Amino acid sequence: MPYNEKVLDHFNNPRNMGSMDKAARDVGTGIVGAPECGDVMKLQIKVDDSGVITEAKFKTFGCGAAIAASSLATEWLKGKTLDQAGELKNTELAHELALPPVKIHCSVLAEDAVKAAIEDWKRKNAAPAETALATEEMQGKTKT
Amino acid sequence: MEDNTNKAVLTKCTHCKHEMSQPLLCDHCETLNPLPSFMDFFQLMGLPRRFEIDLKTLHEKYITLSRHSHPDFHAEDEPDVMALAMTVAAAVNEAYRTLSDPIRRAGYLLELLGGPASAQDKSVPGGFLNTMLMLQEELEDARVAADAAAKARLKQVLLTQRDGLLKSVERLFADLEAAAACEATRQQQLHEIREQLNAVSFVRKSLSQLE
Repeated sequence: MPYNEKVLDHFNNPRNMGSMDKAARDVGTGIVGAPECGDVMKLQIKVDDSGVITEAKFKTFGCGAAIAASSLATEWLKGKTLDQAGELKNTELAHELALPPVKIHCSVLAEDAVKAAIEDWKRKNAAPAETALATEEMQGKTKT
Repeated sequence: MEDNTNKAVLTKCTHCKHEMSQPLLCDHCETLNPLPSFMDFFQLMGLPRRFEIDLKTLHEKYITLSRHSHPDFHAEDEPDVMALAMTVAAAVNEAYRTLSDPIRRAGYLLELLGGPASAQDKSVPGGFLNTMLMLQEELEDARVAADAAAKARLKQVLLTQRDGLLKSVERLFADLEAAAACEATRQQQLHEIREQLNAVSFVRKSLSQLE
């Protein structure tokens, strides 16, 4: 099945491909993978003092749909608040890219990457009292 | 762990009525018997349901069953016998394909034991995806630069990683067999096997890109 034009466009001209300093306090990094297809995706967000995402970068090793979904997600994230970003749904990405059913999981991967990046940023920027809670939450998440 | 998985399917041969020491093929008259509906690949190949298996026995069993179920062997038979032979041949091929490969065998056994499929449990060992990402970046650089030496080195890294993961899968399955653990511990063990196998999937994908 040929990919939709939008997928091809993002695949051939990926937006925001690259990396930011993982150690920086204002950068949140999410690294996720899909064992079924072996795709690995890294998505990073830079958040300013008012909680707005000023920059987003991605690096995806995977199929065209996974690259397109993460590329589109970074475009979409810029200018959003963290709360708005947390509401990004894989279905929106899948719909925009007209992904066929077998490629829906690629958009799920992009949503997971966004959520992981937000969590990472929150963990780094949490007040000391909240840090323990955030760590607990994260541990709970990694078990599921 | 006592292995009684094979005993349940043993019956009398439909043709000569002798007791059969193995499913499918009568040891007395060599008649191909119907495929029991609930037989797993280990039972089909007459092997204990465990990760460590004797590959020589598997291969011999595969040859024997393939020969007796080969369509050419039954070309003159009644349609129902021919149909049975075809069903058995397909099942035997699939069983051999699954059990002869340690990664496929582990995944199959894990789900047979009630463990999660990769779609249900996508977790990998801590820090693994980071390592994978770094390796992928190096791989990309090596590809762009057409650096054969770097590619060869990365292939070796990936192979070592795969073998290490498979070793721990082997160890985890042995642990599972050794102790009659409580259900919670057992689920945790099955989950750990899934983690290692998920990691193997990533490594295997990267290796396939090097070929």
